[in-house]
Amino acid sequence: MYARIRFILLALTAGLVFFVAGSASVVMEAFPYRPFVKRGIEAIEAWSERTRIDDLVADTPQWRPARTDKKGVIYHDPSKSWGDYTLYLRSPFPRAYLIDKRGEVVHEWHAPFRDIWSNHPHIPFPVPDSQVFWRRAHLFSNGDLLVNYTGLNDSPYGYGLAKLNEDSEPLWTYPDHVHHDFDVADNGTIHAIVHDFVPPPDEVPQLPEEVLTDFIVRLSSQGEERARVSLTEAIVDSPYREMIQMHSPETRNPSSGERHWDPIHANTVEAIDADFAEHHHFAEPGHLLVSLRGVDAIVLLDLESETVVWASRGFWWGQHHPVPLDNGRMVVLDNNGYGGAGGESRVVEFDPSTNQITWSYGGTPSRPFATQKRGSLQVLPNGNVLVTSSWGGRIFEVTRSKDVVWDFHNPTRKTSEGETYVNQVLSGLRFEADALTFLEETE
Amino acid sequence: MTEPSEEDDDISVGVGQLTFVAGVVVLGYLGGVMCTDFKVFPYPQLLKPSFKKMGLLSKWRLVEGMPSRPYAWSPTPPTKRSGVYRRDPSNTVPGYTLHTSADRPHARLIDTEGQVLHQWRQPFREVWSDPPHIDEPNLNWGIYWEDVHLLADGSLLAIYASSGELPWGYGMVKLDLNSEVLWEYAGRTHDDFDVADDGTIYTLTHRLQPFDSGHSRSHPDAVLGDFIVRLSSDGRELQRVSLLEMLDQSPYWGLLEMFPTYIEAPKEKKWDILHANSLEIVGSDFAEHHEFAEADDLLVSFRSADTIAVIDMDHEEVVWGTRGFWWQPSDAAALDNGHVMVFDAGGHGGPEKDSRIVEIAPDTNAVTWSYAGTVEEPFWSVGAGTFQPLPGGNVLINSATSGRIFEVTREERIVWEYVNPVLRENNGQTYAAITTVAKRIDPDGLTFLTP
Repeated sequence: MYARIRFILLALTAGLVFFVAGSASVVMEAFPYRPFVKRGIEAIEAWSERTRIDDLVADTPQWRPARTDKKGVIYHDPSKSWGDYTLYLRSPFPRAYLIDKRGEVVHEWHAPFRDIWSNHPHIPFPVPDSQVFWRRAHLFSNGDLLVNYTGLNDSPYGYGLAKLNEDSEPLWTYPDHVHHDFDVADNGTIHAIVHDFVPPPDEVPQLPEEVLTDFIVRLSSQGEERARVSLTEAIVDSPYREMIQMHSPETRNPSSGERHWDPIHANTVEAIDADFAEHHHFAEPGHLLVSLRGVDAIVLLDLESETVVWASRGFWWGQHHPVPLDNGRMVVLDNNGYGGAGGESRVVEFDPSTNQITWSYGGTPSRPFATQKRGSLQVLPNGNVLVTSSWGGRIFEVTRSKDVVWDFHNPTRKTSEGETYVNQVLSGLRFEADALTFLEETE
Repeated sequence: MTEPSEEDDDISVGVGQLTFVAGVVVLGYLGGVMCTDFKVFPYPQLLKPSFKKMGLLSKWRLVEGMPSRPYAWSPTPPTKRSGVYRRDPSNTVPGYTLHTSADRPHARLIDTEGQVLHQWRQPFREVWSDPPHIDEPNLNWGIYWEDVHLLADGSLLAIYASSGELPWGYGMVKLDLNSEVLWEYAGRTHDDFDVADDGTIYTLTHRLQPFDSGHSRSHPDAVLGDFIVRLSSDGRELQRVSLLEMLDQSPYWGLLEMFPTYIEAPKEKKWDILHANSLEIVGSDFAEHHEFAEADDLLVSFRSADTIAVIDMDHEEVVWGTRGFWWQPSDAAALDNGHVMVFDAGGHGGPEKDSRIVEIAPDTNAVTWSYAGTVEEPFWSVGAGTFQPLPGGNVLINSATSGRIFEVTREERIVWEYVNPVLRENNGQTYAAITTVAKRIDPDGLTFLTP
């Protein structure tokens, strides 16, 4: 019996020694904690987080603390504001709203993920429909709506592209990991951002075995894929390879850190036209302007040669939505680069050939502008800028003289644990009445 | 079937015991991992303090603020080699190499074999026994030279810096070939200066100051403001411009706002708004390629802002600036082909370690050449480092915090290599004195060396 007790004590002592060893191996990042046990823990955590959203309001960034109790259109100057209708999306819903200048809803679209894809071969285990929402929309004059789906907390989170008619019935779908943004040309050609976990290029051995890689795909107006280019490969095959070389799980530079599995994080794409291209020797019509938040870069991609032909890491931080202008300049939403008292975001117009800032708009204490992530821009024909401040639940139109001439606050609120939240708004787009023929028909 | 024998019993008991031990061991290990990963008892209370004492916690988890040890010595694992240990004379640009060693205010001129041809040294307190520009000067042992410039007659211009102090710029001196003081400039000169053909000196200086921005963020607390000062060849101040104000009033004010280090910095480093660390006079060959540039403009690098800028001293304007695919640029050069070359101290994430040299075309930001070291011979200089483009395309690279100076060809072959032989042991760790600057010197024209 003593032998048995002695044995058990010995075993427990061994257990204790290995307990301390286990702790030390975490602290020193030693084998076998790294890589095996660590990966196991991360996998379990990631899987459980996918659907463990107890409170969609407080636990996710889709709803933000409301900054004001004002709702709807709180200011409008018809003499300076452009257009008649504004389209926008509300996160985290697969819903679009078309409102007039007074904020009245004149049309809505709504199509949950599983209504569009009862069969979803491209997403084996989708998150619940309550977590799948629209991130970007494009409205056609006949009321058709092109939308991309995003699965909250899943990875890859791109859930597909769908074209709906004005009654939200699907016309066609493109079942691939479409995410963040897409661009529709006048002739109907679509360029979309797609992502998937694939091995990184050999030239960047410090990245993990698989990284969430962004691709640009070209689709016909009916959603058929015509071309696909990997952005990481296009960058590595260009004189801008250093942009990805900055990544490493071990170095301290700001491009590294926790997201080395999502190294470039493309968030917008837009085709450039001849008016912009003629100002710059490196640009040609049809090149794609892509914003890469993960490396603080804006790049021009040549889809034919599959290479990046221009790139800039400018004075912005965590940017979205560079827009090319006819005068050769660009406007960009600099989410985090502004230190003013009105919030950390600003809209900046600059010359890509000299890096000079030619115009900027930042918030003020009375009209703060702060959207750390997301957000979008539309440059209107009269030069005004329609700004979607996602985290502010707000869309506003600002003139070149920095007057806000239309100011809309998303009216929905929810309370959770004593705090009031507003849900994020996305993809604000302004239209003239003439451009939307389907509205005339209903009237 | 036979009855199980005693032997069988023993074996099965043995196997059972082994399984039990294995189970306890595995569970124990996993338990240790879990409690450490999730930071629950007993890790924070019992294990962490012991690990800290044993030095197991990686250095990146310790709080970083101002250096707690003298900056002049680097614990970067030194190579066992010191002095010149690699030579490919047919591919090396001929000449001498002038370099500083931060163990004291000290510079050496060596030939390609590492023979010391001449030395200069002058302790700070011999130049200023009662410095008018510094209230409580550091002790001599913490002071070293950050940049030096050699003149044909063997006289040397040098700027002093004080390790671990804010502001660290301690003044400029001109010494003759015997290190006697010819003149001194009692200003807060730091990091880098350059000398024009006519002897005019342009130097960086700095001071702590509040800053009221015309644009967005004002800084009521003190930030470290950088200046460019123009001196006559005999050390008289002729012009002084504030880089903060110039940037703020230029179309490049966006670069001033955009310093990631600043925005993310812990409170202690929020003063480090620009950290100008290099200054070079732009030549006419470079200026010809660019509308914005003229000969005698100055090319300046700002470490905190990840920014390179060109300054017009006549109009006191920033005429061009850029941020690029680098982190903590510590030196920049304007090349005759119109490109800009940058020492990127911390931007390279690959296995070749953190530093690299990049050459860019300013109008497209395209990288036309780069050197990042190799896996076998990584290139790593923490937050500092200088380089010098040589005739023919070679580059002399000074990996300052490794005390390592080497010359590399355009094809990325190292053809000359030298490690500062000034070493020191402390607690079993070997430290090398930092080489703050290294320059290849053309022997023609030097009149003070006996042949």
